[in-house]
Parts: sequence; C-alpha cells; structure tokens
Amino acid sequence: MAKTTSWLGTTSGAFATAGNWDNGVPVTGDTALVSASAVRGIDGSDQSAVLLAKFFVPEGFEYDVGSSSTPLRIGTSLAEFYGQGSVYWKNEGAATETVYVNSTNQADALVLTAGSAISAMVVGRGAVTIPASQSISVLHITRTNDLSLSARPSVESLGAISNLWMHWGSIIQGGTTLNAYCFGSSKAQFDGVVTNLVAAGAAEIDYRAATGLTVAILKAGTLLDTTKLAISRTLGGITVCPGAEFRRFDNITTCTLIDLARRIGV
Amino acid sequence: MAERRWQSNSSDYNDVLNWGGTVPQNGDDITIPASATIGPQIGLDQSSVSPSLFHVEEGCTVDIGAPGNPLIYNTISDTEHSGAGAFYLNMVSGGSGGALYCVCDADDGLLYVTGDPPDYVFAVSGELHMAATAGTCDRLVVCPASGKQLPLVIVDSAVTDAYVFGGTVEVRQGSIVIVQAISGASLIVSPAGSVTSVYSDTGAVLDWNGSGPAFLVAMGGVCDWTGSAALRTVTDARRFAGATLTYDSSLVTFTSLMDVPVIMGLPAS
Repeated sequence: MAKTTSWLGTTSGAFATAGNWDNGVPVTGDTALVSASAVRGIDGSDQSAVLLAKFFVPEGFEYDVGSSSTPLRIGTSLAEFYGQGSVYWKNEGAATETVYVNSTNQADALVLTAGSAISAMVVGRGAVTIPASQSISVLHITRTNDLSLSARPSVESLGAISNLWMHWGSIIQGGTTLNAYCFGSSKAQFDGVVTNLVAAGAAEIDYRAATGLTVAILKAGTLLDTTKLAISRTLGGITVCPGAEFRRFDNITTCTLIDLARRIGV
Repeated sequence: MAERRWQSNSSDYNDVLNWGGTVPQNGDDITIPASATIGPQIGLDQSSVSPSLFHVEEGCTVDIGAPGNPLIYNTISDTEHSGAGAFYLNMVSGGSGGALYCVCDADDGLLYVTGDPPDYVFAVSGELHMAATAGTCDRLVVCPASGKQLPLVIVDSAVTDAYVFGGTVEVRQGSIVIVQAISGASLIVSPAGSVTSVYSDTGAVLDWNGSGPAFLVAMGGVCDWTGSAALRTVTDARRFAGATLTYDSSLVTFTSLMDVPVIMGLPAS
C-alpha cells in the first residue's frame, strides 16, 4: 500500500536511510515529501528503481537535493520543486512526468542530468538547466504572482522541446523546438532550429539558427531579430503583421516574407 | 498578362468599354479604382478566368456583386479589398495557393467570400465574411493596423490555423482546427461553430457558446462559457497565471484541467 513519507535528514543525507524519513524510505508508488524544517539536504544517489507518485520539495527548504557531480536518480509521476536550494536530478522511469518549478533560486533551482523524457515542465520562478539529450514534450515558462524582474524564470536548454509555451521569463534554447508560442513579455534566444513560431504580446525573439521557421507569425509589438549572428540563413515563411519588427541582413537572409504593412500599404 | 482597370462605363463585366477594350484574361491584374462610379453587377460568372491580381483600391465605394450574385473566378493569386463597398467573391479553385487581403477602409466595407476559400487570408480591417463551403483555408491571420478600423471576421467556412491579434472573430457555422494564438482580440464561438484548440494570450476574450474546445492553453485573457446553458466538455485545458476561466461547473466539465496557479499555491486570478 502506497504511503507518504517526509524527509527530515535527521541522521545523514542518505536517501536510503530509514532514519532520515518519518515513515520509512519511499519506494515505488509512494509520495515523498521534503519537510521545510529538514536539517539537511538529500545526497545524490542512484534510486533509479524507484518510481514515486510524487516528489515534493517545499518553499522554505534551503538545502540541495543531489549535487552537481552526483544527481539524485529517481523517477516520479509528479515533481514539485519550490525550495530555495538546488535540485540536481536525473529523471528515471516512464515518461509520464509533470514537473513544477517555483523557486527564488535564480542560479540553479533545477539542474537536470539527461534522463527519461519529461511530459510537461512548468517553470514559474527560478533558473532551470536542461542538458542535451533531455527531451521535453511541453515546457511552459509562466509567471507567478511575483512579477518583479528578479523573479523572472529563466531556462537554459540544449534539449529537444516539442512545445514551448511562454508568456514571461526567458529561455536560451540550444536544442530543437517544434512549436514555440512566445507570448506576453517573454524573451527567447534560439540557437537551435524552431519549426513553427508564434510571437504575440511584447515577445522578443533572438533567432540564431541558420535554418528553420517553416511558419513564423509575428504580432504587432513583437520582435524577431536575426542580426545577432551575421551568418547566411535559409528560413521558411515569415509573416510580419503591421507593428511587428523583423530584423535581418537582406544580403544573407533568404525567406518567404509576407510583410503585411508593406504589402497593403499601411 | 496585362493590367485591366475598371472604367465604370456600365455594370456589365463583359462590356469591353469597361476594361479599355479587352475583358480581363488569365493572369491579368485587375483594379477597381477609387474613382469608380459603378461596380460590376452583370455577367459576373468568370469561372474560367484566373486573374493574377484583383485589387479594389482604397477610397472605392462601389459594390461588386451582390448576395447570391457574386463575382466568380476560377482562382486569383492575390485579392485585395481596400475599398468601402461590398465585394461578393466566389472562387471555384481558391485553395490553389492564393492569398486574400481584407483591408476595407470604412464601416461599410465588406468582403464576402464563397466557393473555395484561398489558402491564406489576412484580415486587417473591415468585415470579412468567410462563407465558402468547399475546401479549406489553411491560414487565417487577423491583425489590425493602426489608423484602420478593427477587423470583424465571420467564419462559416473550414479554417485550419488561425492567428487572431485584434478585432473580433465569430465562428458561426464554420470550424477552426487551431487558433494558434489569440491576443488582444475577441473570439465568439456560436453553438453551431467549432474550434478544436486554442492558445490564448493577454487581452483575449473567448465567448464560448459552442462545444469544447478539446484543447485549451490559457496563458492570458478570459474564457467564458456562461453565455450558453448547454452541457459541454473541455477535454484538456491548462490555465496559467493571468488567465481566467468563467463557467458554471454544473454545465461545463473539464476532463483534464491543469490549473497551474492552484497547483503552485498562488492566489486565484
């Protein structure tokens, strides 16, 4: 029967030590909660045989989970990382995970080691690092009730993202992105290829890949800048609505451009 | 290919005096000028003709065709209505790569499209009524321009992708597979209309009186189901901070709702 158990870290940082938990070491199907008042963090270790129902790190927990050299390797259907420390994690097991990150840690709230695919990741606050070979079906960079600039979420990724939804915060995406919806006041730097892009709100897109953008639609108030790297580009079809801006080097940028303001004379 | 400019000699399309001696042929560029005093109303079945361009100039106030009597072409590569009159257009093979621009310049401006819609439709201002019953419009972009009247688009056709950046889109009897983005605009889905998926941004107002949607990503704006008392099911919805869902829980069922602010313990918006 599945149980809920809370990390206290009473005796050590070892995940598999029963004395560190209030209801025994979590096993597959369990819910593992980290107590905000725990006295130490969780050391990195290989728990890849464990597939939790939920892994919860609360706001107020100031220690790390895993380390930069040794991540915690564990599977979970649902992960919520809200602590002020860092979580170094390798996702193990079936690709049905949903991950929430909402941390005041603007340096390394979540650092992933490439593991099993993640179905959905929601980043409200905090800095997240996604390595190459880590695939994510949906990455959403959202906003919380804290709209201060210091609380802007940021993601640095080399992984493959199928769907990127953002309306706040920033991303530097070195991997490929199938569909990017950049809304609100989001800022995105794409070093990897984006296939489809929609920019709305006041989104700013710094596009550095040499190809891609099969379909790109820019709403008024948005910016698509391809001038940060002076390289030859062969892009797809870009529609620029009146009031949107597409910056490019005319001599080395090839694309099918629909500049509506110019086309209809407004 | 030649440029053919309407001369307002009569309302008969086939009157050569209306075209400077030659009725438009395949590949011609046709202009209905701002100075037109009468519009084409007779002989409008030109279904074997495929002009390259059909342009109604800004300031043109004449009507072209009428309800039940549209101007019929096989297809047009580029159609632009910038006038203030009503233009009833039917394309037999509109979905063969053509583009249509609705830039009507006054409240009376109307572009009414029947037949097979063009692949790409851009609505900037005025009223666009997509009443085509054959084929599919691949991409509908609704984007206002400063100094122009906000666009109103009525959809009674099949549309694959829509991008709605201002004005109003009313889906009456038609369908849109994906509203890829709605931002600062209104979307009205009538009971007989269908929109499968929606991605909403700040300032979006979704007045949902039809079924569904099957998939909703609400990143901003308001999605309101309270205009209809019908039982509805939303299969997959994601609400993020800044977006509001308004509904009667006895009428609207969310099969799978990811309510992110609630999950993250944020104040309800």
